[in-house]
Amino acid sequence: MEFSLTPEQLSLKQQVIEFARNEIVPRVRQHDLDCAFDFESWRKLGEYGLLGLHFPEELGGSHADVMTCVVAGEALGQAGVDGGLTLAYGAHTFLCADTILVHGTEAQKKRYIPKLASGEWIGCMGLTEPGAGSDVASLRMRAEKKSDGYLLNGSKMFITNGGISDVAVVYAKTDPKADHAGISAFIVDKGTPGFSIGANLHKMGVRSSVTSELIFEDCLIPEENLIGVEGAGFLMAMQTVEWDRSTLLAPFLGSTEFLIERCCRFALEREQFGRPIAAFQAIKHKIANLKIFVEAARSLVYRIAWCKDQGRSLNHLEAAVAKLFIGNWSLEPLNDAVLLHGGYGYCHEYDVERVFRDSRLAAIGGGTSDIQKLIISRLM
Amino acid sequence: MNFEHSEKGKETRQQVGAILKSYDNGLRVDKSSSEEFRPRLIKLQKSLAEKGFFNLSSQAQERSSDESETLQAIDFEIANFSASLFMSLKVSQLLVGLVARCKTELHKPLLDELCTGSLVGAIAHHGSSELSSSTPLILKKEGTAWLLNGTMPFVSNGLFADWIAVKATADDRIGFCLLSSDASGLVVGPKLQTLGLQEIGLCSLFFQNVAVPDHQFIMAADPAQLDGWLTNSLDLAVATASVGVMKRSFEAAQKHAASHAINGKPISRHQEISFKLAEMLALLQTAELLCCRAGWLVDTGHSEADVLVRCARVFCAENGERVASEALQVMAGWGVLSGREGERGYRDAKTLALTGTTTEKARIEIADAMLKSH
Repeated sequence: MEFSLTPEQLSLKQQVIEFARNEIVPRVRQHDLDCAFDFESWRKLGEYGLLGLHFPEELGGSHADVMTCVVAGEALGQAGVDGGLTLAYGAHTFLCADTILVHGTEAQKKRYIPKLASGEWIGCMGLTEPGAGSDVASLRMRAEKKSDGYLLNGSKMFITNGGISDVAVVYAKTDPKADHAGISAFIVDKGTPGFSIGANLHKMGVRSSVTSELIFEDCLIPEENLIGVEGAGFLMAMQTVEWDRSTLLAPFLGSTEFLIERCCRFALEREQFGRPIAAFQAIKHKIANLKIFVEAARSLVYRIAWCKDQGRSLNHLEAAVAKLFIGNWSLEPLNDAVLLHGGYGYCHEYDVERVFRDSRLAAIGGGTSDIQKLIISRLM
Repeated sequence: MNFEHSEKGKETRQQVGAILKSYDNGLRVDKSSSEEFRPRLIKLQKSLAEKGFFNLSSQAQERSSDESETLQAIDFEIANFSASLFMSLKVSQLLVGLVARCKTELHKPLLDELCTGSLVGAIAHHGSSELSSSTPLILKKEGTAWLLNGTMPFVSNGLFADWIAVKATADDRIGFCLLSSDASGLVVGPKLQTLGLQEIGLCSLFFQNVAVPDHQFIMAADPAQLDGWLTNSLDLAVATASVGVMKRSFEAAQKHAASHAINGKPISRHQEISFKLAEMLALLQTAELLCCRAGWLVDTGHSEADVLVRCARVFCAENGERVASEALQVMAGWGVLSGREGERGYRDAKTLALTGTTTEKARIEIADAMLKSH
């Protein structure tokens, strides 16, 4: 076993941290407060090459490996980029674009990937429905084969980037009787008749990301918008959510590092009872807990990235362990970070409460902690 | 980055596993008396020495990454078998490493003999003061001889060691007195009965005018670095042993849950149990990876090695207790029966949590390092 990052990855990490601190972080607080998507930062992420890091160069990417993507995601979190923007980036690149990249036809790749890589188009992935969350196979959205394409009817819920997307990868049943094997994946362009956006959802955290309902009412899409073959959608969805349990966890690592820095600085500056609070063991205990958590979590996230780089199409156990650990065991140290700051920790301008709110999603999105336990228990 | 064990590492684990299988099972080893335990420890040491594994930890220089991985593979295999045997072995190996780091030509014959695995070592480096856990004893010059007086409590392997390194100062120089167990004036106290790790021969050592020739007071060129190596080695040993306890506890709970049925249905099919097992497995895998990474950082001389070792020490020991407790819960009445895996794991886990750097001290050290770097 060996745990080193390459010099290039280490260098990229520093560069992304610097870029994010200069170009994105100054706008984070206001966008979180306003629950507004930061299009300017999005454009900059695209220009910097982060939105298509692992795409082939001929399609606008940098052909980076998954580990490098994890390093970049971690760097964004460490710089102080909010969970909303990193979630938007993750959903766009890994849940939407990557599905087209891996499973799409050459024509589909050429049409969509370059514009997704640049950020000119924003992508989303529609899997969850109002009545089908953890039980994904019970989704009800229907894709009826017609002579001129597929007719989509149904709705999707909790879709990150839904309200601002130009491209949606959606999952629907082409064979309602066939359970998992009846699910297929489709690309739906913005503006397609019958495709509309429902209400945007106001959330506890990740507020700068747009989370919406997608509505399909007799939405006819051309046959060439089918991704892969009919019935292959469930496997694609499982591969997709594995990104939720790997690269999308990377910013959480970075955010914890961000909190460690904030906690240390606050503890060294804040004086009570005649000394910096950093002198008190109760404060040191909290800082230590953050560090212990992030180091424990780091290997898990890197491991799943490494597994994916080995070309293993599915890594259920490794992904579930990473997601479960980060989702469940982050709560106490993050709470400690807020407590360390006292009253200031409860205030928006100190950023820690935002990270606390944002990170709460880790145990929910991309498969709840209970689902991870179900997966692990079945694989034991 | 590479998360796969090398072929050599896998092969080594199998070889060590085969050696351990010849021992009976770990439970019976852990119920043995000191008279039975010492020969088992020596047998293991000699078997490892024959394969070239025993002296890996004795190298004063950096190990190659292959050798580091081999050592880790051996450690995990033995820790999984028996926490007591593993901790005793590590203490014995630490003496070898200590002598290797401080040796002069005079000590080469002793070092060569130690590397055969035929001797048991111990290191006494906690002082008798309640205020300080690492106060060395003081050597006083009487005429031409150095004399050692004092008490060292809680010495692992102390009961049956052949050679003991006792931390002491002589004229403001910090080092270790190398004493054989039959040194005149050295009194080995009775076995201390403990909650767990009951077989590691824990006792107090009493020194009454023990003569220490000059050449038997050994020092490293950098005493602080030696201290750091000793602390990291012991903390990593505790972390590894805790992972071993977690693994055994988890496997015992899993086996029980699969075979124990209520109303014809194995309890493993109830979410209350299966979800507990899932959490236990997640903690076990996290702990093992953290332990591996901390060891790798030490072996590569990384600047964050000390902090990561403390992190591993705290995480593995605390979650060792958590997993052992959950295992007991899963096994219910069967778990609390004496001599069974559940209660052994629970006792060993708590004892390990109190061994080496305490979790309180470790947290302070971690935080101080973070505060310094920010």
